[in-house]
Formats: sequence, structure tokens, C-alpha cells
Amino acid sequence: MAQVSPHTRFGLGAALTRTEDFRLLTGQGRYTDDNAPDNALHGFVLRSPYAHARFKITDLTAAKDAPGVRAVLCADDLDSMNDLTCSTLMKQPDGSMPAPRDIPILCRDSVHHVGDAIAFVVAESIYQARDASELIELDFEPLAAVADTAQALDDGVAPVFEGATSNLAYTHFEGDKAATDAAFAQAAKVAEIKLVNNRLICNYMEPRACVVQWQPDDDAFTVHLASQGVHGLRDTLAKVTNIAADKIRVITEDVGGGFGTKVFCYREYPLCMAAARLLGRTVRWTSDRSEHFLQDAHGRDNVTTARMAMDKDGKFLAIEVDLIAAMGAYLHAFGPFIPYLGVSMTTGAYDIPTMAVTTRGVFTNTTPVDAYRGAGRPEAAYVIERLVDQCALQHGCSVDEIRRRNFIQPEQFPYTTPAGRTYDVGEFEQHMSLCMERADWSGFSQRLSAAKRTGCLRGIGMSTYIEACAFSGSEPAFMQLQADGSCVLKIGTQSNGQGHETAYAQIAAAELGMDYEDVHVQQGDTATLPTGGGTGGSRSLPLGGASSLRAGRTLANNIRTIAGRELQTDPDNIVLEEGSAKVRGGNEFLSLAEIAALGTPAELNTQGEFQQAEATYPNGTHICEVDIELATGVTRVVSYTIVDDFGVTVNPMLLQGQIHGGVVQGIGQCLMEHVVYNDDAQLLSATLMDYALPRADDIPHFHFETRNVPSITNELGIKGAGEAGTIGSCPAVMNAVSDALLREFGHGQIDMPVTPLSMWQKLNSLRDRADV
Amino acid sequence: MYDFQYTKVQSIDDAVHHMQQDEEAVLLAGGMTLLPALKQRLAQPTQLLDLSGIENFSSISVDGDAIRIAALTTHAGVAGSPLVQVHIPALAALANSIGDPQVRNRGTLGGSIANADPAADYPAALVALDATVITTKQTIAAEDFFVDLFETVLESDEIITAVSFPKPRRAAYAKFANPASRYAVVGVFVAESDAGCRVAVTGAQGSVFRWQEAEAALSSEFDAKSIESLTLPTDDMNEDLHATADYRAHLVVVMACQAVREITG
Repeated sequence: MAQVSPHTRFGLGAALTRTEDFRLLTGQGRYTDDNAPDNALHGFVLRSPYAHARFKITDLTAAKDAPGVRAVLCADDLDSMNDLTCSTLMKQPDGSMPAPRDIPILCRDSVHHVGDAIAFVVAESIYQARDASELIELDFEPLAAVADTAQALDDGVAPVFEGATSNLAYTHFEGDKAATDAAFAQAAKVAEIKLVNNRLICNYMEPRACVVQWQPDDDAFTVHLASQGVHGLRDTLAKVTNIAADKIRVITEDVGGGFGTKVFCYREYPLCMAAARLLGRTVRWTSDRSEHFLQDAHGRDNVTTARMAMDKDGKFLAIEVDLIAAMGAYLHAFGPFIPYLGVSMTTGAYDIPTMAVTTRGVFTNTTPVDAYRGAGRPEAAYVIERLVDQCALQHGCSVDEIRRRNFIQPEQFPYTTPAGRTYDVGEFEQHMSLCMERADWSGFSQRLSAAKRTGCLRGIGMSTYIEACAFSGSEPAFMQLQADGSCVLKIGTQSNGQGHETAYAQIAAAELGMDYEDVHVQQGDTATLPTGGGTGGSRSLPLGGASSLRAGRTLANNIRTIAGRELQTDPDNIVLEEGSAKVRGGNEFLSLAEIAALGTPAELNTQGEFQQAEATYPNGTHICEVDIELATGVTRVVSYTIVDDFGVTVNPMLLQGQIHGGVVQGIGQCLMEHVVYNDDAQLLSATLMDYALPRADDIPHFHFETRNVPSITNELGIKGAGEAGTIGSCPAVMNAVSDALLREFGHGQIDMPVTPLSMWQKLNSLRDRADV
Repeated sequence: MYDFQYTKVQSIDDAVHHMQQDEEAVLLAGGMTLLPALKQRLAQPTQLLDLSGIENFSSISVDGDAIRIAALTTHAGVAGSPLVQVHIPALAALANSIGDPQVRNRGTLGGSIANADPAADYPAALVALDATVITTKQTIAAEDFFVDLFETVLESDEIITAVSFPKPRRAAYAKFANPASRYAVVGVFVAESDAGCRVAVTGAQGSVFRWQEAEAALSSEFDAKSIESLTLPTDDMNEDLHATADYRAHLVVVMACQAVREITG
């Protein structure tokens, strides 16, 4: 557990319990669906059963006449709407920009993945809407489909878009090809690894939903939806619907998980807007779990070959990566940006002089791929950390030794990577050594022998990851002292369950000498917040936390000014504690409610904004031990140790929750979670009956501690921690699995997810190989 | 779900009467399979006949050398029954391994075996323990009750009223759970009684089956070593995302050994 400063009651470092928990745990949370009035109409999206087909809607009469049906919308009814566009097209090596593949709100004459949207039925009840959707008469002409990322570019594979010559969405290059080629030419040794980063489905607890009201008087909309930030969504909705942004109020209240997937505008939101205006009624839509599997952006799905050139001492000279990144059937909002973000972290925590990374985005007849917790950085950490282990094997040294020889050393900071990122600080070797000590790395052989006696292979693996957070930009905070002496803090990030209400409040409250429960954090309403960048990239606390501190500090200064004026003393003579402004060393004081009555609006409303120029770089070491049961192939994580560097810890309890959750997601990806399509691009893992998620009994106790080196980029020294767990975990788990196999068979390569079946098959093939 | 009529029947006769009147009606016991199927629009019955109002339909009693469990007894009821725990602890443990607490408190013995899901746990216990299924029309050995994938001998107007489990001398159940659904990829129930040793396998094929080769081997020597090098043909094994036919065949042996070791200690 991270250190808690004993003298800090509310400020940075205090392990405060969450103010939002009483509300959330007693059923008083207010999620999007809770905003629907009883008489709201229900929308239902008719989705494609085919992965690729031409279609014609031949008759809508029966559907429109069905009981309770108020409208049936098709593409033809949406002429005034624009498609959902990708905002992150990547420049190609020849300087050209790739062609966009935008997502129609409703498909016009062809569908490109199972679940592609065809029609929108609006009825008095969801059952009536679904019943009516089955009465829509359609002619499908099925076409050949492709689902496999590795095969998407093969000759003779059916194009996802009719008439296209290939499924190549774009090519992007980062690095220095000539320098990299030269380094490989003089390398003493080259290590190579081929990896599949499996496709995942987010599976937040709360499925997406929206509730749309239309106000005829001013042709304006109020849109409740589950998001990671309302302002970006409002602007996208304005662009898609051709309605002015100031006519669209977007509200997000409590959110049951976002993980990147809820950042985006999805089809159902503009569809509900169209229906609400057409019918003059409130229209609601709620995803069910099956729709989540088919419609919400998927994550990961990379096929990578990576090579490292080393000199005779195992010093890295250059890295070369060939990355095939699945885009799905369209280019989703940030689709091409996600692999790029990973590519920007290619060299990890190592001093590698040069790199050459080629990314090819490919179309398949699958749900589009976009950000999922970590968004490219888990994929990058997975490649470099697996490759570094391979380098150790190739060079003939231990996995910690190869890292020691190649870590960026403390005196090299600030360090600019070949990808152009500038790391501010880091002590990679130190946290690796501490983590090895905590994990009793040196005592592994005894545990290995003990495991063998129970019919298990045991392996140990580490990852010494680094990632990029927060990024350049800012997130202003707005504070107001209320008449009752409490404070409101408004900020344009969006809690998805992480505990923002507590974290921001404890930072601001410390400045004001008040109880953190008296600082009420408000997010998620475009009508009351001027701006907001939303939550993503672990930016909320590094950026929003620093702004909250500034807003709180300014308000505290103003309170001292007001109190000094009223009590006729120097403001410096005023101390803020226990919710009041006191004269230092005297008995006179004013309550904050009295201050609120005395201050001018300008004094009582403050703004704080911290502008950050560069990303922050959290890093750390994860060490994992696994047991592989020989009889069944079952792989279990039996031990897990984490020593992280998050710069400065805001709240150790919230931090621990973030890390635990992230690591569990990583373990899930390594051992269970897997999106499987068949050859016709039908989704086979389409429900939780087949898509395995980790549960409590799959997870061991975690040892977690921080060894923080404050960031000098961030005002508070904070580096960000929302995604680190998923980033550090996959390579640690898979290096452990690989280690177990290597020790027994001399060969260790296996891809995620290591399911009981895939491991059993691997064990069989390794035994056959040993027999030969 | 599609529209349907809901009827809470007052007695077993009442339920039979409704089933005779309406061929598309289905019985609702715990609803743990039926309700998800309805929600996913995979079933479209005209009428649900809710059995939960029938009195004395969830009792557990000693019946000579057997334990008689009424059809509407929940899995939690079986798992928590002192009678079952004392006389057939392996059955109580099996019931306690089904689904999660919510499922165990709704799902019923009768509902499970009537549904005859190839991955359900109970069929292995019924067949290995040589249980008797008692219905409104007949009393039938479990081995003859299960026919195929989701298929039993039950006629359209026939209702299971109870299952009678002879007390074994010793028994154990070992399950390899599907990582996602936690249904049995393979479940093996091994039971030894005066009549001999029985090994019943669920999850592996379309329907529960007795593994007679293992029964013979265990009858000569009741030890996991007797069966650990046996193999099963893969021809009739189920295949899905989580297990191929050869993996299932392999897991049958592993789970059978595990059950035997649990008995022999």
C-alpha cells in the first residue's frame, strides 16, 4: 500500500473513503436510463445478421402498422444527417491521407459487419419496437466476408468494401528506416517475436443508453447519455445532425464504467434526436448486453512482428516493428490513432537509439476497433516487454540483466525517444530491484519445485513498463463558495466510477481548510460547464487535479481577503481551518457561510487552469507467477507484485482500486477474454456465456506499492494511473507463462488468451516436439 | 421477449390440464434457462404455467434406502439439505457447484433435468446414482430418461414430480467448468454402491452417458490408477469455443480420476 502522509488530513496522499460510495452503494446513483420519464418512447435498432451483404428494405408497412409503433426510420429518412467520421486519419509514407470510411447513422444499401444498423423502430414499449422490427421486410444479398486480421491483406481475400482493391485502410511509418537498417546490419544478435494482441469487448457494467427530449419552442435538445465527457459529444452530435451546438444540451450523470469505449458518439444518439423531433416525444434507447457486443467499439486486435538488434553485450541498437492493426468495418473516431499512440511508446523504458515502425490498418467485417483502457499503450508495452525477454533468451542472460543493461539511466533525463516523446524523470532499475525483492524473485526455485510436486509448471515473469498519460492540454476547474459555506467545484472531466468526487474534493478542500465532503464536485452538463475535455488517457487527476488545486487556492486567497476586510486585519493573518476563517492567534472568526454573504461574485467564483505541455510518464514493474496444471492445461495467476511510480499519489485507496481493476483486466486478456469470429465473420463469442471475464476467484492477492518519483512536467508531480494496470499486466503474465514453458520444454511462445484449451494443445505440441 | 400468457397453476393436475389444452404452453419452474431464452427471443411459448404455487413441491425425504427430492426443490435446497448432506454428500456438493447463488436459489432439480442441457450437472448424478425419475405418468430409470441433446422421454403433458436417489456407499463429482458460463465442459460423477460402480459423464456428449470401461476397471480396483491411462473415442464428443472433441475426451479421464481420488482420499 502506498504511503499516507500522517499529517495530511484531506490533501494529497490521504486515503479518504469515497464520498460517492454511499450514494452508489445504496441504489441512489443516477444513471442515464434513470432519466427517462414513464411515457418516453423506446427506440430499437434493427441490426444486420450478416457480416457483409447488400440489402433492400422492401416493405415497412407491417412494421409501421404494428401496435404501439410511432415511427420506423431508415437511411432515407436521415438525409439531413452526416455520417460519423474518423477524426484521426494518419498520414501515409508517400504524404497522402487515406480515404475515410465513415459510419452511416443507418446503412443505405450495404452492411459491413454483424450488428451494422439498418433501421430504427420507435414504439410505446421496447417489446412493441422489437416485435415491429421483425416485421420489416428486407432482401439481403450476402457477400463474402473476412474477419481475421492477419489474413485481411492476403491475396484473394474478399474486400470489406465492394470495389476496393484491398483491405488496407492505411499505412503509417514512424522512425528512421535507414538508421535502423544500418543498426541491424551491424548487429551481433537479432531477437524476433511474433505476437497476436487479442480483440476484446469492454463489458462495462452499465451498458450505453440515451434519453432525448426535444423542446419545440426553440428547436433545442436535452440529451442524457452515458459518456466520458459531454462537450466532445455535444460537438460531434452538432456535426452529425447539423444542429447548432448551443441547441444541444448534453448531460451525463453517474456512469458505470467507460474504459475509453464510452468516449464516442454512437449511432443511437442522433437516431433518438431525429425521432424525438419527428414525434415531439421523449425517446429513450438502452443497449442490452448483446448489442454491446455487436455495436460498441472493440479493443486491441493487433498482429505484430518485432525485431531487436543487439550488440555483442546485449545492448539494444535498434527496434523494427511491423504492426497490422484491425480497424473493423469502418474507421471509428480514434481508430487509426490508437495504434499510433502505441507506436509512440515503442521503445519503452529502454535506451534504443533508433526505430522503424510500420503500421498497416486493415478493414475486416467486424465491429470497429477503438480506444479501450490504455488505448495502444498496452499493445506497445506488450510488444517491447515480450521482445526484451526474447532478447535475454537470445543473448543468454537473465531478464533482469538485459533490462539493467538497456534502461534509460536517471542521468539521461530529460530523455527524448526515437518516437519523439520526452520523458521527464524515471528510476526504472530501482523499482525493478524493489519489485524483485518484494516478489522474492531469488526464492523462485523453491516455489517451482513445490509446484512441480502438485503436477504444475510454474513460471515467473516481469514487465518494466512505461506509458504516457494526461498529454498536453488543460482541464479548467471552476469553484464557487455557496451561501451555506459549502463549495461547488465544476470540472469538465467525467467520473465513470473512479472516484472523481472524492479526489478533486480532497485536493481543493485542503486549500480551503474545510471537510472534503463539503466540496461538491459537479461534472457532465454542457449547460452549466463552459468547457470540458472529458475523461480519457488518465488525464483527469494530472490536469484536473492541478486545476482544482489552483481554483481552490485562489478561492482560499479570496476568502482571506474578505475575512481580512471584515475583521480589519491583514489577509495573511487569516487562517482557514475547520470550515471557517480565523484570525491567527485570536478568537475572532467568520464562518464560510458568513464569508459567502460578504464576498463579491468575483471573489466567490474562481477558476483554476493548469496547462501541461507534454505527457507524463507513469512506469513501474509488475512481477507475476503462474501455475500451469499439466493435466488440464489450466493456467492460474498465483502471485502478483506491483511496484509503480505514479509521481505523486492523490488518494492511495482510489489508486489501489485503479491498479487492481486494471491488472484484473490484463489478467482477463491474458487468460480468458477473446472475441472470436468464424470464417463468415459471425461473432461466436457473442454473450457472456462464451466470452469469459475474470471473476474474483480467478485473481490472487496483489502486493501493490508505489515508489514515486514526482513528475516535473506536472504541477503536482502527478503522472496518472487510470490505465497503468492494464499496461503493465499483460506482458508480466505472459512472460511468466512463457518462462514456465521455457523451463520445461525450451520453447515458450504462446499467444493470448492462454485458455485451458489453447494451453493443453500447446503442451501436447511441445511434448511431441520433445519426443522427436 | 414475445408476448405470452402467464398462468399460475394451483396443482399438478391443474398444470397437466392446461398442458393438454394448450400444446404450446411451457412449464415455468425456476426459469433459469427458460427466462433467458425468452428474453433473447429464442422461445415463443403461448403460455407459461408457473409451478411455484403448488404446495409441497419442494420437499426432501427419506424413502427407504433412497432420498426422494421433489421436483421443485431448488439447487440451494438440495445443497443445504441435512438429509442430502448426510446420505449423499456428493449430490449436495454438486448442487452447490451449479451457477451462482442467484441461480441456485431459483433453479430447480426438476427444471434442470426436464431441460436436459448437455452441460448440466444433475444428469451425471442421476445416472451414476441410478436414480429414478417419478413423473405424472411413469417411474423411469434415469438412464432411460435422458434421450439426447435437450431431449427426454417426457411427453408434452407429463410433469416430473420427484427424483429418488438411492444412497450410495461413496460418491464424488468432479467438474471442469466452462471459463465463461461455468457450465460443465465435462462433469464426471462416480458412485459406488452394493450394485457396483457407476461412472456417468455430463457435458462431453449430446447427453449424459455411462463410461462403462471405467466402471469395469474401478470395479476390479477402486483407484484412480485403474483408469488414468484409459482413453475415450472422440467421435461423439461435443465441440465448442472452449473445448475440442479430443480435449473433452481427455478431460473426462482427468475429471474421473479427480472424482475417484476425492473418494479414496
